Amino acid sequence: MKKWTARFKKWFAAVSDIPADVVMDLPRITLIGQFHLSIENHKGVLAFSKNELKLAVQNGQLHITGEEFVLETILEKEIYLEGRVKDVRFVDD
Amino acid sequence: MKHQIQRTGGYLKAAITGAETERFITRCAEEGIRMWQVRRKNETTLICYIELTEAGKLKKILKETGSRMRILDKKGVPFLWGSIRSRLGMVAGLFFFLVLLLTLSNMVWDVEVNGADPKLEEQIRSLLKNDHLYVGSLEFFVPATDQLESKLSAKLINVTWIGVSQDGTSYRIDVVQKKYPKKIETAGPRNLVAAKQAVIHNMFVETGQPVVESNQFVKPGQILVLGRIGNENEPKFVSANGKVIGETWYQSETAIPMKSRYTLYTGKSATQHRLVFWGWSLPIWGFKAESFKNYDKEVIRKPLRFLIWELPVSYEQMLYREKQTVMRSLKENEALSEAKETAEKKLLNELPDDSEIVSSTIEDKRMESGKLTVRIHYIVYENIAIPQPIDPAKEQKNMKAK
Repeated sequence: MKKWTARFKKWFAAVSDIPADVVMDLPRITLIGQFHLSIENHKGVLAFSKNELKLAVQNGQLHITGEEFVLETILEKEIYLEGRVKDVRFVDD
Repeated sequence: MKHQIQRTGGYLKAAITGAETERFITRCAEEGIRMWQVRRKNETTLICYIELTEAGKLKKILKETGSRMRILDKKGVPFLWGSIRSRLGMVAGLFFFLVLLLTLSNMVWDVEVNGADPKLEEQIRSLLKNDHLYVGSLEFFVPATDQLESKLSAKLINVTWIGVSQDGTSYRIDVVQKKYPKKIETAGPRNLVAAKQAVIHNMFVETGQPVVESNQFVKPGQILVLGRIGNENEPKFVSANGKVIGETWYQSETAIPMKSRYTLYTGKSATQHRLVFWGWSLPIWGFKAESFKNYDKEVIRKPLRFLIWELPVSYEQMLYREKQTVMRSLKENEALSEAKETAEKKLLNELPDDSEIVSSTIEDKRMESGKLTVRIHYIVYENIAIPQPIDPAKEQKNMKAK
């Protein structure tokens, strides 16, 4: 059943012009150069240190590594990260 | 920096210590507590800025996540207010200083009176004091300069002209005093001659030899009192002095309109006080000025000063005086008596001081386009003598020639 819902959402996103992150509750990641990263639709902070940020997202985790990380703003659905981003990686559960 | 500007409420800089600091972040985000500039200090400690909310909410989250919070710094308006309160003395002092400076900037520092003798100066100063203008008075209560001018010139009789000018916090009053010319006594020999056609009524001769009699008709220029006395061989010349009251005749024509309009002040007035900020004026006292149908408005504007600058704030006083237009229509006898009165006044103004109207006769009156025109004939007793200098040498020569 859950699989069916996901497939329908994917199809709906494809046929309509509505962005996939809105329809499918997926994270939207915006990276400006190397220094500014914003993540929308996250599901919570799992780990945070100077060199690493782990976020829970739909269907898995998002691992970001780099240097001198500062969480500029934290809202319920959004996170703004500043620092030197080296790597953005999806990790399945 | 952005965040600091956005915060009008208070906020804390805090160190969060615990095994699950990430959960603390997530929980705060869920509860809507804003956090920013989060940094990792070490394995167990986060440094962050956190919005000031109810202490209970934060405490609950801390307990839930097994974290501890240490406050590093307190910022924002509520804390600033607190620190101000703890330094109340200093703040009050600063405030008092500013108020004092503002008061002193709006004070009259100097009243200069130029061109008046000490007695008049004293009189002017005491009059000005009644109008709140003295050294040390507040400028707001001083009337406008042109008002002061008209008040002063109405009250001071022996002043030809008075000018009031204001330069910042000092006032300057320029006075031109009346100087009466000294009476020039013609000490030299003179005759008294008739100034106008008249019939002599009576004479008071102090010196000289009268050459006319009562009830005699005289022409202008005719000698009345001769300045030569003694016999013809040894004449002596004196300054003839005296009064010759003659009966003279005048005719006047006066026109009085039967209907006239007057604008009168009813005596009712209202004052409105306003504060003007950047051209936007706010009434602070007196709101019933609009109840007058017809009125004259007087505006006095006093800018607020701070040291040498004029602030964009000023105090405005508006005086509304109710006025009324009155139609006056006269009956014929009223118009007649008024015509008589004005004509007499006008005549006496033109005559010497001790003149006396003996009789007045209305010769003619006619109504013309709403005006009553009256012609009146007057008989007046007045001093007709005027001095005429004589040249003794010439006079003697004339006599010898005879």
